[in-house]
Amino acid sequence: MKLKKAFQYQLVSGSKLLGWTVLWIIAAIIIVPIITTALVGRVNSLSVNDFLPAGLLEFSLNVFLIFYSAVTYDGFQNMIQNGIGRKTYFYSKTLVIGLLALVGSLVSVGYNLLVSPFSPVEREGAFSLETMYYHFFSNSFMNHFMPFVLLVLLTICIAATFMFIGSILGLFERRTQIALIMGVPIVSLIAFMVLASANEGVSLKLTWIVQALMWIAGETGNATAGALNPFQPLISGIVYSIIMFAGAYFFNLKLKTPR
Amino acid sequence: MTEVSLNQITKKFGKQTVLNDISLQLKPDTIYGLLGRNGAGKSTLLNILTNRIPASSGSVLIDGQTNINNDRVLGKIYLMSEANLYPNRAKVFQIFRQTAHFYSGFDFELAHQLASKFGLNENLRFSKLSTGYRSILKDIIALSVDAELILLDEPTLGLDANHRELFYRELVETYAQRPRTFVISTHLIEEIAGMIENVLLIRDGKLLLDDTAENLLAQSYSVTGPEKEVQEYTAGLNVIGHDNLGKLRSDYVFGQLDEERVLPDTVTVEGIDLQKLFINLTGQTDKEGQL
Repeated sequence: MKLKKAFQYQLVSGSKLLGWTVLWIIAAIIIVPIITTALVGRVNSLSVNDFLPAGLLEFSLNVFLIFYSAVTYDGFQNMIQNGIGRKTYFYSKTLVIGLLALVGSLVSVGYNLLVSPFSPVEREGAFSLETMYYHFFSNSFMNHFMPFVLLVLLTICIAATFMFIGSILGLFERRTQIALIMGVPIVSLIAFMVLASANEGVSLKLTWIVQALMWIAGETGNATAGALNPFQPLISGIVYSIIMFAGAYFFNLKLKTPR
Repeated sequence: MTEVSLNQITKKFGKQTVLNDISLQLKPDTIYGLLGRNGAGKSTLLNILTNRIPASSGSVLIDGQTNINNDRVLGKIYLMSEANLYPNRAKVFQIFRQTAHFYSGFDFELAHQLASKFGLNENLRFSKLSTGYRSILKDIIALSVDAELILLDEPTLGLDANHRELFYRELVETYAQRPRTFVISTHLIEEIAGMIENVLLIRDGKLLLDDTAENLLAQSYSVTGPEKEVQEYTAGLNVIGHDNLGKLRSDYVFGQLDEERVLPDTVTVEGIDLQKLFINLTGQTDKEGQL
């Protein structure tokens, strides 16, 4: 297995793509609004936060991972042209996603800490997940570390979901892909509306779905905000990503060119 | 030396059987011509060999190992095909570099030389290349890569006559310097006839012939003369086709002639070229002779 070579190649191309994503988002979120503000003559109204918005890197990382994880077929074509099989392609891509999610989260937490003094919104911690699990442990390090682990896991869950979707879409022709991308959300929305109208009068809060989501978030029945149980989202996230990655692996093995 | 064997390969697309029970072994350091009409299954066979698509049944073994998701085995093969699998945004020199990353013995010097000879701008993006130059890029990689088995599926697609000649010349030269197995699938049989050592002929998804070009041509004849005499002479022989020109007739015979028969003075027997043999073998009806 040429895992090292495939990993190196994908890491370089993935990092370049991440860099371009950050640059484009900086252009869209920072540069264009600043130029627009300057053009209308309101430069004095700009603050440091306009130049260094909190969550910039976190947002960029997630946009990148959604796109990078979902684009399965082009990578597969390039790999098989170069004598790399589906298994190696899947493993190397998963490793790159994991590594970039970890490093990217570390950098974005560092960035958020750096810009937090300029942020108009007062935060309890360096990133929003800390507000949910800040008091669970008696140990201060764990109270900071566990939310970070959950942040990385959340990022990986997002990536795994889109990798799963991308692997399924990779099996179909471009036209079918577009039909699926457009059709599935519309059908789901209609199904949801039909279900909602059928259950009119029943509060959504009482359904098992909400209860399950609350449990996943760490709700234990008597926990208050900041003291939710982080092990519940940790276990749920791990199980969810394993299922998504396993599904993506299954569909990856079915990729072929031409389709 | 790499041993390649295909064992009872069958490929079906829905109800259509594209390849039917194909078994063959590729000899090392040999140039093969993979011949067949459009839709015969040539590209499908090459795609199965490189694990781009799975076979419905059967196996491909390279040095005794399966090719399915096996990097060690797939790294010994390079398939130049019409399909464009390289990233559109990559520049030519970047594609050379990435190929060298995966095929460690990639000959950069040769690749640069060939790019220069073909007039391929290495700074152009893949998406900006014409059909002909995309073929040229893939041909250059095929000749420069260190794989043991080079599969060329329509390698001269979109190339003008000058570039086609240059490509064949470079192919023979690199083969002479470093022999390995080439499988060339093309419709331009006349152009490759002089270089192929072994012929694989596919018809209707079945492997019809697997023999040396020399053997095949040694048993291929055209019998020409007045229609009546020709038909009398070829009666009972394996006639695979015929042409008529006025009252003259040429019967194409594949197989041994009957040496006991007396050849009339008005009838001549000559050898035929590979293209003529191919046309008559793949164009014949079931009634008109068999292999």
